[in-house]
Amino acid sequence: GRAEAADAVANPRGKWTPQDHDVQACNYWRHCSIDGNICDCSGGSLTSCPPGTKLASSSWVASCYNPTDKQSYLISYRDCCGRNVTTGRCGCFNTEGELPVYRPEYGNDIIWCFGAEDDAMSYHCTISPIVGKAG
Amino acid sequence: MTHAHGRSTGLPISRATMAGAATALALLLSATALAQPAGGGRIGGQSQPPAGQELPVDDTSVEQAPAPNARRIYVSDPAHFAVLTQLFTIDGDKGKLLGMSDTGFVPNTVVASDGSFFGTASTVWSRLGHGKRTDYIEILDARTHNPIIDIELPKDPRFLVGTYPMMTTLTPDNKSLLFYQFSPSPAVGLVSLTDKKLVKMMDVPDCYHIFPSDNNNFFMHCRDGSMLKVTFKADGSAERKKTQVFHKEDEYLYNTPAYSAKAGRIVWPTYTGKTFQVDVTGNEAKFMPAFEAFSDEEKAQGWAPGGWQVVAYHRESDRVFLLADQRAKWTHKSPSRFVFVFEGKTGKRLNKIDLGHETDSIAVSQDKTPQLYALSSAQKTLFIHDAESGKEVSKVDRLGHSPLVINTSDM
Repeated sequence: GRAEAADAVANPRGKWTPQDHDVQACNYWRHCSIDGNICDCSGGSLTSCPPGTKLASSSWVASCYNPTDKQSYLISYRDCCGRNVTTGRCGCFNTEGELPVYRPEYGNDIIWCFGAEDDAMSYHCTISPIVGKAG
Repeated sequence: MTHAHGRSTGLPISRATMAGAATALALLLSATALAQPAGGGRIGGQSQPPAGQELPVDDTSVEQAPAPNARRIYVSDPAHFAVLTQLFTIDGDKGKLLGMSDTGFVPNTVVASDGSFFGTASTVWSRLGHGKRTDYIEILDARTHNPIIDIELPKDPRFLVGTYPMMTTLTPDNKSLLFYQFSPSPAVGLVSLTDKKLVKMMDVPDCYHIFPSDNNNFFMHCRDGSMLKVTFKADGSAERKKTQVFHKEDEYLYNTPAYSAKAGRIVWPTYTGKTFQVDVTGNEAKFMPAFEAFSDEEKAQGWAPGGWQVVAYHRESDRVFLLADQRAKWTHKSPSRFVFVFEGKTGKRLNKIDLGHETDSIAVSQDKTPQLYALSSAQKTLFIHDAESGKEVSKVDRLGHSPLVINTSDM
């Protein structure tokens, strides 16, 4: 969970402080609303799923601030599905701008496996691709 | 090895391959086998050693949990979205683990209103993480923990989401189970536990959670900020009616409100601690005045709710328990260390409890001198406090991987 981020161990309620150099850390800027595991830690990458998993077509989104170019980008969190969870490999739980389930487009507790091949619906990990600039 | 010794075919192999203690054990087992017919077997559950035989022989059995009471607790461990998960049965009086049940992917727990049974809505696949998906309801006896009802749900209708208790619930008579479907369109599944089948998926608008106000009515909360009343019949035919909008678009209501079916009270905090309450007695939604858990000065100091199950309600004393801490904005699911206690009717603050540990979820027992349950996912521990004084009285540790959800019964 969130506690795995080095800066969050000291204070799980501390302000989100993004960095732009380590994609496997929970405070990497694109992971500002990730819930689950970083796919880069289990055979995938920042934008691709590990072998054997199925890429969902649906997603939740968040506006994440990139500290390097000082721009905010819309991240579309898509799940890689059809395998058991990658327990112990880069589990993160960030909730920047995360909204309750009645606003599902910003809700990150939902298993966003809809649209994955073979109707795969078990959760393995999440990728953090950019889909556009945010205001 | 003891299993091999117990089988007649295992005995010669053991003797041939092992010396000393193994041979002595084999001899003991042989002696026991001989002693039972000769010595008259077991009397009153106690073994009777033959004359001159001093070694005790234990009776063996399967335990039953004691009869459930108001301090029976069920703790669910969704195990960070693992496909195999577990449900722990705990005795709050003794701070003791009574038993465990296997559950699948993001399970939901229900507990009968008289405590006599509990159950889960769960999902498994034929090949662990993939293959054929099966959604099912399993009802287990509260004492034996044996399954008494198993219902497969056709067309895999469960909403797979980090467990929100009010997405799956029983009607007050314990005869029907209601569960939420998110995709392909919003619906509520009506399951008859007496007929052991899914009766119907009842279409609903863009609304969430299920609060049964009696055996034929439930309320939901909708995206537009209103409540929806659904009146249904045994065959699943239903009528729907929306209430007024009761909160603003930027007032974010937590995913885990408290609901007392016996009081007909929904208690629903926002990310900032503004707490809405809806009285649904008589199957009508009456909106009570919302109260602010924190003053403007406290809000400026960062005080806000946070965690998973952030609110609990004690019916008889009409008290609201809110899990909170000082925090940065957008850390609304991070654990908290404090519980604030309010009078439900007025919102007057009565107490602030320092739990002394990072807490993700809280609940209270519904007896006269309630216990306050505080679950820490990181520590995998349920801390049991006196709800009045806040003092920790016991704890149960080693609760799986990431325990997150507490269910109790208002019996």
